[in-house]
Amino acid sequence: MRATCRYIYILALNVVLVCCAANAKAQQDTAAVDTTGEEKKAPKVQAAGRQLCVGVDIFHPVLNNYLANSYGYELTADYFLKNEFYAVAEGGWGGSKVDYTDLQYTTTNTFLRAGFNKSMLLRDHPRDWDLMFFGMRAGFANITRSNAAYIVQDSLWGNTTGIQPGKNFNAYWLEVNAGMRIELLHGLCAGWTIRGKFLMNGKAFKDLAPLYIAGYGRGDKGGIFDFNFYISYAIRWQTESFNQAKSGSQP
Amino acid sequence: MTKVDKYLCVALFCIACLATACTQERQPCLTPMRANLNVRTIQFKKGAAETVDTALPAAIFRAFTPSGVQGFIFDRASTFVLSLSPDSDTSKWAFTTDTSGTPFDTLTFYYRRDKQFISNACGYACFFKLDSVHTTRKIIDSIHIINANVTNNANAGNLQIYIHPGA
Repeated sequence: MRATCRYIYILALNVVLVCCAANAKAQQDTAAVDTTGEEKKAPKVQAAGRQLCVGVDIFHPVLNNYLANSYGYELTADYFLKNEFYAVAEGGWGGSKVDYTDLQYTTTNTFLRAGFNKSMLLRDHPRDWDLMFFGMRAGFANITRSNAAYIVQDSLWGNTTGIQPGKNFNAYWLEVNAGMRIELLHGLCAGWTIRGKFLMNGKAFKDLAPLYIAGYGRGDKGGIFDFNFYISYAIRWQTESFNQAKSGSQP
Repeated sequence: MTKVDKYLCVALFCIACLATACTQERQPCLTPMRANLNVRTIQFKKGAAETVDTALPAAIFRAFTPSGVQGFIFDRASTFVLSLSPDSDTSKWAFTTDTSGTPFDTLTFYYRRDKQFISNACGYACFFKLDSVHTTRKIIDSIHIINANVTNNANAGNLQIYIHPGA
């Protein structure tokens, strides 16, 4: 319970810090505009149309080649709402295989994360979809673990073997995210996300914490950092109506 | 987005890759894995009611293990760390205060076992909860269980052995 409270406190502190930083940057920008004196404050540039961006994480597949006993794959999709807020859904699958001399088991899991991103980058023009963002997620994973065979080693009394029965269970966590995304070509984007994750039901792992939970990370850590590098494609629509509205308003 | 921002993006990606590449396959186990049965011996003074906590000259403990009897000699000590069998609900030890032919007492420990997952780095350990201790009474007067939970906590005293005067 104390650990959960600590993680909630850290999470809240992170949110406050990110909000303060965003607020300070906004004030700095405003101050910079005000010093020009005669010029009026520039109107906020609105987005041109709608955007749905779907992507795939290429960082974890690369990492899978270097990690012998765990793997994970992640997909992402975000949809532009308004006021530079994006609704985000992420999902994937993965697993781990523990084959130590004194402990053997396998796990597989699927996961889903949902939340939002808030862009802190001012648009240069309506079709500027580059992002520098912070966000939050709630994560859920369904984990299947095989029977775990273990050996308790004792040099005096001799080793003892045992089996921890396999089971299905869930993991819940919260995330604080920050990252960037830039448009490389028309609609083709690349960007990274760094994540601070806080496990909310660590007690469910008391009998055997999974070595790796795809979407979260090490199962025996209550708080963890993770990283994604996404290649994504942006699907945009209603850009024509935006163009017409814009040209209609011009003299 | 400026060129600087793009370079920053790439640089941070490389740093994250390097940091992740340093991750070890199996972390080293830094947690004590053996459950310690911490024993303290207390001697009565000859002809007096109060106790004295003096070190025994050369206490001998012998464990009756499945592979035979294994002995340990402790020089000038009054606290001892024993262990219990993770493969059985009873363990038997023999004890005497010195090496000069003093008779041995036999201690039989009855307990419940509790397998504990420590971490993926360490695996499982076996902890115990003492139910009772039976002993012969050649040199031992009585035994008191102070803390029935035998874990990897090295500082928790579990047992006090009171020894007859002059033993």
